[in-house]
Amino acid sequence: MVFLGLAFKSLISRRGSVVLTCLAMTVSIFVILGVEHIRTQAKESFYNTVSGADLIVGARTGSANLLLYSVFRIGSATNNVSWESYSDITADDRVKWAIPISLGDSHKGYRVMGTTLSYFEHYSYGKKRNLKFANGKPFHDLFDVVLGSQVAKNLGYGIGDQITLAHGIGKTSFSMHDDKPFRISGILAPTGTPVDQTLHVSLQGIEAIHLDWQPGSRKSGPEVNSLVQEDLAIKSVTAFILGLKSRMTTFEVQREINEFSQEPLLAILPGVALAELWEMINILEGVLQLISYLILFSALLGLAAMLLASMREREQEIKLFRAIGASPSFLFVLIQVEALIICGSSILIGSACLLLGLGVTKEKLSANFGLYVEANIFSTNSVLLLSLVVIATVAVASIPSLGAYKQARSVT
Amino acid sequence: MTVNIENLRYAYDKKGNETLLDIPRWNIAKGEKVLLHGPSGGGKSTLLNLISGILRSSEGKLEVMGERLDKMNERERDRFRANNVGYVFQSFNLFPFLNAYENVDLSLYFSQDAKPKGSKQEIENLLSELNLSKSDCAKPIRKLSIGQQQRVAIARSLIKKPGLLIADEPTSSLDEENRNQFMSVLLDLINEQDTTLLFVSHDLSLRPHFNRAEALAGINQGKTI
Ligand SMILES: Nc1ncnc2c1ncn2[C@@H]1O[C@H](COP(=O)(O)OP(=O)(O)O)[C@@H](O)[C@H]1O
Ligand SMILES: [Mg+2]
Repeated sequence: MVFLGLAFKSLISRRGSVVLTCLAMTVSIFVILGVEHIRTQAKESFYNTVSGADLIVGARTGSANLLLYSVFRIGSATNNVSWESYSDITADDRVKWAIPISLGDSHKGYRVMGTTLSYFEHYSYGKKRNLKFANGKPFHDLFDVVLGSQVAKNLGYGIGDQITLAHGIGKTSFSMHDDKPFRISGILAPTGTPVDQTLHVSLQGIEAIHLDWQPGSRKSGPEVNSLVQEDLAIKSVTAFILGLKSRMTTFEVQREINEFSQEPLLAILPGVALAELWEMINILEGVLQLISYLILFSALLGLAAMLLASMREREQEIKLFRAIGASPSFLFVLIQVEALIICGSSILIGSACLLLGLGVTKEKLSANFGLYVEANIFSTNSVLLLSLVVIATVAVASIPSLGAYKQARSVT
Repeated sequence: MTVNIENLRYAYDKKGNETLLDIPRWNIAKGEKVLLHGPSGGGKSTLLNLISGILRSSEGKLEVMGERLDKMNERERDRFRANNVGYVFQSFNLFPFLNAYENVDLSLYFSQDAKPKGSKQEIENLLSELNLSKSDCAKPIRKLSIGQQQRVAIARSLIKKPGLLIADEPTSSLDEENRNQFMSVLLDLINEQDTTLLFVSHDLSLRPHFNRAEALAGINQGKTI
């Protein structure tokens, strides 16, 4: 095509300023695509933390707080839910399944969570994806533990390894005569959610950890090997997740739990709470977007300035184009094509750099920030953004294009 | 009749207060070679732009190769020029970002609707006829001498075999040797193709090459500054 060839050769003859303009556009497209991609990925991975749950229930607190400790395993509950209340509520006809969550312990900085086998059956994340085992199987014994994928990977644990689980968060202060009683029975496949950072034991396992086994004060406590069911009676859970038989009953059950007479409880809708929490933590989102748009705008202005400055040198060219029979609209299109070539190559280079950058930093992002970013940057949104960039380029390039058009018409 | 002008008037300022050109009658016969001369600023280039259809006259009749340019719109005049009029300037005759071959090829592109597509061979033949070697034709324009560049300009304007060739002081920046070479290759091709030539120059020593020499002041009654 004549336009492409001409525009390309003309650009090459002015490569100095063209390369700089292209660079500015490339950086802006890199930033705008990068911000958009990470923003949507962060949001998606946030919203995908838990799915398929109808209600999350805990002691009365803020809904954000309940969501944070029950789902994100950040912070801790001020109060627990008594086992009686848990049993009452989950015995209700409208409840299909329940996953108890018992928190408060840790292992080398990773949270330990007590739950039941119901967790492996009903907990889901993303688009209703259930937990899968990469290795091994759920806990069956009191001292079985199931690891999240990151825990196993980062601590180098495998099936059958024996580990110590401590009471309290963040320290390993507890010992007993058999100081590594827990055995790894299973390792979960990666989920990209806080599940990956969690160690899972049975509710009784949590009670076992809580028994006062500190040396010196242990004389009244039972021997580990002779623990009996009564010693491990479960007194409370931290929170629980409910699945209902019918979605229609969600609000009704929620209200009843919130008005529960035995103790003050809070039931939240995970979707609503996630949206509220996202609103709270995403203040940066808008600012980042604004900045990336401003960068694009300035790059576009640079493009227009470069093309406009070149028009002065090209007065003679325009005259020659006219003499050999080119119409003014030919010149208009030619300048537009030049701008679009710059825009197109910037899009290509910018996206390639972003793809490469994400490929390289993907691991670090997930390890350090728990941010799971897909390398595929071409979502509907980013394609839309790029179309916007192209349209903006055409708009901005109209300034020099119209200049060329006018000059062509008044040429002598 | 290649050019037929009757009562043509032209003014740059729209009110027409200062009519630059006012030509009651002027003709150029087919195949004729006309030298047009006159002082700078007299309106010679303006007249050439009117005849080629780049500018449009506001009044009078302007017929070129049987077509009424004054009755055509801009698009039609562009097409007409691309197909029928060759143009050589004093300088900047070639796009600096294209080589000689590409410059000639581009000119053909704009006229290709009316003429069968010129072959690569045709362009190469013409360039070699003009004493331009193959390697020169592949070089960037700025690596060619002024004389070579003006000869490429001849090729560029004659490749489409126009009925009329307009030359606006094409020899003014050439030394004597290059000027003579330019004139001889130009006239050879013009005669070969039977092209009408309208040539502007203040160099009256070129007079013997032409059928007719005309001072603009002799045909123009417009006001000169
Ligand atoms: N685009 C233009 N707009 C207004 N005035 C012009 C334009 N081009 C040329 N002129 C004026 O018209 C007159 C004739 O110019 P020109 O045709 O170039 O003369 P010549 O070629 O004989 O030197 C000059 O006074 C020039 O200043
Ligand atoms: Mg002139």
